[in-house]
Amino acid sequence: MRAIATGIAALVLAGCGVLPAPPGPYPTDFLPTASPSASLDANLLSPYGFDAAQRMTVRVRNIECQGLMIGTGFAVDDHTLVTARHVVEGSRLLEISTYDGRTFSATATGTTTVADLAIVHVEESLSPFAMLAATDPSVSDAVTIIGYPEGGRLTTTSAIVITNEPEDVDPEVGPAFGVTAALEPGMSGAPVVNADGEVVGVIYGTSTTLPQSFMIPVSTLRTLLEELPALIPESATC
Amino acid sequence: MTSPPSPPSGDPVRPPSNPNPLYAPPSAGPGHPPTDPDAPRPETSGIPFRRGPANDETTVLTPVTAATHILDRIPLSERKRWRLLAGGAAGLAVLGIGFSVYLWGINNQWQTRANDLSDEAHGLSERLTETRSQVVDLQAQIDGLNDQLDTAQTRLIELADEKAQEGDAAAYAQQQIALYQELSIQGGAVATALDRCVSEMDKLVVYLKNPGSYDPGEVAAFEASVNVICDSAQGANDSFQNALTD
Repeated sequence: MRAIATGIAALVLAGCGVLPAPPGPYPTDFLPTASPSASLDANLLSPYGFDAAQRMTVRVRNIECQGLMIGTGFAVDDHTLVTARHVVEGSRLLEISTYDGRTFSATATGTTTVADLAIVHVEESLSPFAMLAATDPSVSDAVTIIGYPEGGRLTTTSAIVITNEPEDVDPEVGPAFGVTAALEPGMSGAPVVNADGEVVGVIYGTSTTLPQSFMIPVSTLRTLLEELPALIPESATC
Repeated sequence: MTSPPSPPSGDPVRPPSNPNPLYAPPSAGPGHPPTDPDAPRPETSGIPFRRGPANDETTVLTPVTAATHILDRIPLSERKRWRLLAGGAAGLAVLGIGFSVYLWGINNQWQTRANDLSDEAHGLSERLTETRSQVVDLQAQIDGLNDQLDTAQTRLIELADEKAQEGDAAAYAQQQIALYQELSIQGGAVATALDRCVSEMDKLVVYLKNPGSYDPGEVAAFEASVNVICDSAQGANDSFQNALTD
């Protein structure tokens, strides 16, 4: 009998343990605490919808003593552009046009004999600038080339890095990479941008036999930028 | 309760002898005087015996009379058990009632909460529907704005290109103007040289028509200088002609 009473008491106590509790305080707000917010990197898009790679790319007009040469370049800082050496050779006057139609004059600061690269100085402030990749691209990397083919409209071309030993390359150009894009004249000096928006090379020529073009890798460009005083000044005498 | 066997007729019924002092006859229940084993037993022929309240281990059979209480007809151990069971049942009933009251209160609270939440859910559902409608409208606006942005971007590229082409044309025109200016200057110089050549030739003709009036040596020297002038003028003219054809 005592055992039965003890069992009943235990059941009662256990029952108290599983009794449902009353509801807690009524919630004051059912909305999530984290409200959605717009996250748009202002540096990536201009008010006109152009991305940074398009905005940093400029059209280079080389007014020679006789004739014109049209090429492409891109900004690497406030007042410095990079383009191909043959774009600014023999220049009497350089004129730079931006994606939105602004035009201003420039002077060729210097060129290098190591590669088909040239540095151009502009008085006006340029924005945005190119972010240079830390390393050269690898074969099979997807890249984008932005420039002004035939001196026409700003164009974006997709390509793949195919080899780092292209054919029919001028020996004085130095190491070069190939890309799977048959680019037209006017694309010389165009930036080659990787998937992260970083410049990995500069277009300087195209193959005469294959649908390929060639670029100077960013490592060479970095070396050139670090040795600006060693560049050969461009003369503009007709 | 089972009835004990009926004794033989005319023979008084006696309880069994009590060898143990503990079996001293207890006092009877209410209405029953204590019994003395030596006292003459009442005549109980035909009347059932009842179990006396000596203790749980003894069984004292006392005759049950018509005045015996119903509980006294139940053995003592059974009565204690029934009392305990009744007490337990009562306790359980009280607990059950308490639990029921508690659960009823909790149930009411949860029902109220469920109703409130249901109302809130309806409100949120309406807001969600309204927000979804707004999202659809805004998405349509975004699509339209994207189309407009694409159009504006394309137009901006076209305008920038047109401006660049016009700049090219202007630069080319400036080059042509400079070239024509240079050619004009060159042409003027050629004309001057040719004019001088012709002028000197005219003088030479006069000298040659009057050989007696001039020193032949000087005339020959003059002729040589005229040839140089005219050759130079001819060379400038050839260059000019070539520049025009380039």
